[in-house]
Amino acid sequence: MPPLPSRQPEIATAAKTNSALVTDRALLALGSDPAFIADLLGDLSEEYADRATRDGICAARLWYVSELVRSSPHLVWNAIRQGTPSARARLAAYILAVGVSLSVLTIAWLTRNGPPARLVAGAGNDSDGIVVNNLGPVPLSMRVLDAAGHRLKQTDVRYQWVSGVPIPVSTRGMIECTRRGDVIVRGSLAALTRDFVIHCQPVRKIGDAGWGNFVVGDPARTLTVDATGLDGKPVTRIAAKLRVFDSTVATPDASGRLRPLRPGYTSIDVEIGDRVARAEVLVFEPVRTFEGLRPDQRLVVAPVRLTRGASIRWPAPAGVFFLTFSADSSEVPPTRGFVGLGSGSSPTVQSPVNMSVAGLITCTRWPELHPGLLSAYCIARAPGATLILTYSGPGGPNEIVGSLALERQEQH
Amino acid sequence: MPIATLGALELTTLLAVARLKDKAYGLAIRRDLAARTGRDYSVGALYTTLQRLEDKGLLTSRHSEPLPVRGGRSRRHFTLTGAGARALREAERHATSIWAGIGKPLRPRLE
Repeated sequence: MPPLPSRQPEIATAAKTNSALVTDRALLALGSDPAFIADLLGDLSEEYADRATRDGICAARLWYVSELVRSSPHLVWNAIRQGTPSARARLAAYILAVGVSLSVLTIAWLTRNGPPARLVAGAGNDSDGIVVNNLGPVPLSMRVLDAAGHRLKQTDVRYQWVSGVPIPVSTRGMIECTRRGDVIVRGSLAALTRDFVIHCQPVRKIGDAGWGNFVVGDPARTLTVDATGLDGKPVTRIAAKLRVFDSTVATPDASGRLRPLRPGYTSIDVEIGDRVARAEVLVFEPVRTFEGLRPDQRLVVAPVRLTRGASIRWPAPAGVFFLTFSADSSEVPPTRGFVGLGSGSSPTVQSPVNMSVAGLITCTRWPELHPGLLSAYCIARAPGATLILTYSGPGGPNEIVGSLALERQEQH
Repeated sequence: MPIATLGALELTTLLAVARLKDKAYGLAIRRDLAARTGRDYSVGALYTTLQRLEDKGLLTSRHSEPLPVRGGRSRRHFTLTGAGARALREAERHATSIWAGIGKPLRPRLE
């Protein structure tokens, strides 16, 4: 029979004949040209028949599927070129759906959880155990991991007291540190078993966390907090949580030490067990001298090095501010004395280091917090006042090294 | 009328159609290409090329009656058009031109 002159009737016939075929319907739904699909599937069917006779059904089916997959980019391209706008939109939706599905399946495969493989200590773990500072019952923070390290939601870990100080440990992992000492607790989940050291260090009272002065650029350091145990003695192992109110000023690092970031002030809540204390932190900007300070430089600290008989004279900013001199060396005798009442310079107390002022400025000695620390609260009514730091006292070292910090107050 | 430029697969496909004459349909062309080039082009790649050649006016096609071996679909037979024949002649002339002056067998020049 001679070939027919026009293809359209045959396309319709072919499409109609094969309308029941899932492959045809799926490819037509993609938006590809029906003639293209009919040609492609026709060739595949014809060669499939040859291969099924020659190589067997299984090999022919495998070839058919692989050939269809190899041709799929051309089918998609044909759909993009030949399809109507709605068909193209449908195709885009299919591609998106396939992409999303593959992504979801891939993520699900990569993040799938395996069977429990390890029991590890959770938050509050020390290098060799778990520190518990709570007075009341607290759940042990054990985590169950699979072999890949994924955390599993397991609630059926069983616990038991093994040895150490006698304290209540429930099978569900509630522990109550009623006294100070170390405890061995065993966690079990099916065949998994692990013993943990619990350092019971219950904290009855936290002392004043006080102030911490930091300088931008300094390494991170630990805030000092005094904690007292049930026996009235200092607690030696502490697992603290820090909550920094303004983390742009300072921020805790992974080991809980505080890293100064920029000049400023922030409060920090230090939570130890059931107790909370608040610490105040000032971060100073290091400067070489107080000369030429800008109005926005509110917290600055400058190094001071004084030989016996020498003095430093720096301009004092106008306004209200705190001044604090601190000696770096513990060999320096406690400073005594701050002078500066009214205008003029008139030291009143003899000490190795004296602070005095000159000009339109009034200063009041601030209570001494530590040996070697000298603080004052000053009001300079106008620019032009001078701060004078003198080391004249006998008996001390030949040279004193320290720093002078300036903390300007808000003007209201 | 300007001669259409041809890619490598387009040229080999046109040559296969010219060679197969009235037996030039998809499967036969693909087998001819595989036998002569040693490459197994996918069915989709071949029909994309055939459609492009038809769009360029180098080929024309017609359908046979539906065949059971093709699942009730018809074969699409391709024929070279006048423009297709000119394109092949031009390709041959071009190839002859660029091969001119090359001795056979090719030997690397000793430095």
